[in-house]
Amino acid sequence: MSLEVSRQATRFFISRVRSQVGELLLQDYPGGHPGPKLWLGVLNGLLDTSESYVNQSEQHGLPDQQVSQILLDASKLARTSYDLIEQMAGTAATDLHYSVVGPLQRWFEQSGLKNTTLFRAQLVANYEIAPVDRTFFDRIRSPASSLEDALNAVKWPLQRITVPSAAFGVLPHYAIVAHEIGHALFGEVTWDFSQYQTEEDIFWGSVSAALDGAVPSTDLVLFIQEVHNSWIAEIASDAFGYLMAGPAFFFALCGFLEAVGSGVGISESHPPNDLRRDLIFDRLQATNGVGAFTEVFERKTGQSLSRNINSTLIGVLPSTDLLIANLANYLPSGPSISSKEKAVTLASLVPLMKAISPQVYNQAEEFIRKIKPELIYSQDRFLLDLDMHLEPLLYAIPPVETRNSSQQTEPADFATILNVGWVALLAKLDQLRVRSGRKGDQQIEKGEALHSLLLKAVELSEAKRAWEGVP
Amino acid sequence: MSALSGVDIRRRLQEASLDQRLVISPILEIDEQIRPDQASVDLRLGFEFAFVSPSFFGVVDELSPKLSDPAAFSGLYKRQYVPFGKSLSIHPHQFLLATTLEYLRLPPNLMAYVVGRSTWGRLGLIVATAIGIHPLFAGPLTLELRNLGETPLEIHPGQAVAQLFFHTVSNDGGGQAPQQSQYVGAANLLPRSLSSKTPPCQ
Repeated sequence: MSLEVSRQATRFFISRVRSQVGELLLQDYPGGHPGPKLWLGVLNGLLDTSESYVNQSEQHGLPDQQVSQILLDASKLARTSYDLIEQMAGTAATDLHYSVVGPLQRWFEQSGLKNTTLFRAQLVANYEIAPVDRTFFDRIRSPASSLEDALNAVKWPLQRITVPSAAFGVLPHYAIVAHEIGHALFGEVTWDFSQYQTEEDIFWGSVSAALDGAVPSTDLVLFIQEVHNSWIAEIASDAFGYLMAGPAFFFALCGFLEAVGSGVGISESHPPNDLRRDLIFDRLQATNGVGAFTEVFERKTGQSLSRNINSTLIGVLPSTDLLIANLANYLPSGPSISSKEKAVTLASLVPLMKAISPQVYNQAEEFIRKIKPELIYSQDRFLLDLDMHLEPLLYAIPPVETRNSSQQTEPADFATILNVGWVALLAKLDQLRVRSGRKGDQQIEKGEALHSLLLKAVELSEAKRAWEGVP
Repeated sequence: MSALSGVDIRRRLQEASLDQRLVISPILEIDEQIRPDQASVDLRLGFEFAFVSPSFFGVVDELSPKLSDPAAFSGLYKRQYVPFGKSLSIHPHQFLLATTLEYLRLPPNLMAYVVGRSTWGRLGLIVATAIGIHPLFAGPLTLELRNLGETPLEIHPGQAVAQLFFHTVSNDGGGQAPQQSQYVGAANLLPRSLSSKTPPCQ
């Protein structure tokens, strides 16, 4: 009798979760993007499998112990399906602007990635990409055919891309998604730093010297390798972000880091903000074709583009000794690695990363050039975009369409909209010809108006793209 | 004040001076939307809709302190984004707000009237009630859709539902944007306030 109660309770729970999944399946997701529905398909497959277990438990003659185990497994699967609904939080059109998912997905696909994606917005001031692996699902015993079909429909690992929602969901900051895509691309490149052996030796020498000549322990070496790899991944992702979005990525990253009060920003997972800013800014100053990005900016705005144009509050790194002292006070000691050892590692990696980064940027560029050279946002394009759209934007004309060399109109590219928007925001906002507020700060009101013009540009350029069947 | 022909409208769209340029963007099919032998531009239905849900809002009273908040009307409407390929039904006597797909920006010497297309009118669909658009307006147009007919109508984003007639304005006001004008540069289809000056309350 008690097992029958358990069976009914499990069925009831499955039914409730299924009903929740069913409601989510009825929704339209931003950009008509298939990711959310593919994920919900997997959850439905889990529920079908769970239900098949419950049916199996009804087979005549099974010992109670086996029935208990089957029902327990069924409950666990239903519970898993329920838990995994959490991934859907923030995927609805009420959380994420409908039109922005299309261009973000295009960036993803154009960079050669084939994974299924799930875009979502959360009340967290952070951009993130996180792979969701199939391995867990493959361990499920006797999966329902619907689960197998749903798993096969997803291109694994599914890449979940999270952006901030609501107040921090600022369109120009979405250039940072190019950095997140860079994380997915990181594993696709065979990085070669063999030419930097001298710099590596200097690094190990400075670690040893800072530890009073001690040979780093095995645990410390592993820690160093982990931090080294994380920092390279961040710098490489910045490189991909810069390549795909140009100056807009620089402005977005610096503006976002400042807006969230990131300060110096050095950690085991991230190189210092100041270093990242410098590395990208060096690229912005590199001359190519029509001139450096900084020169184009100055030519079109009459204002100089300084490295801290929108990030004055980002902390500049102190001297190495002071940095080690500061970090040692702040980083917790681990079971086998002291605060000082961690501090020495982080501080000594800064010059090494400075030395290696040109190679990181060059290899990232080589990679994108092989995949899709048009994806690179060039200095020429920056000049063309500002020529065509900056002045009209100040007259409240959103950058929806671009004229090509044969004077035909084409939908404006996402990177175009972001770059023109950032230049208007940083250098020309006071000239934006929109209604001034009846109360309050006029610049803030103009900032909001600019934001809505840029969102409208994305929506209408996507509409033109869809209407004309432009891929 | 004279109306612009289709040829004039096309010429205004190409005007070199940004101050004087008429902007309608995007025009997805120019030969269909601006015919040289006509004197209007066809406008398409956009993607944003707002359905009135009055039950929890109460009465709309211009003098109510509740309406002094510019966001007050957001409680009266439920917004919905409908992409290309989807549609919605507007039932007999139903009222809803919609936007045009096109973004419009008028120069200082042009004003416009937006009116429904006759085919839709004969089916009972009223497309706009506040039809006058002042010089220097910038934004998508908000359409007030009401089905006065007896049968439900299925409407699809991208359908041509309205047309815009342009008239020149003799005095351009010196080219200054009207500071009190409610919708200049706005991209929000919901109303913000009923009038710019509120009469004193007792």
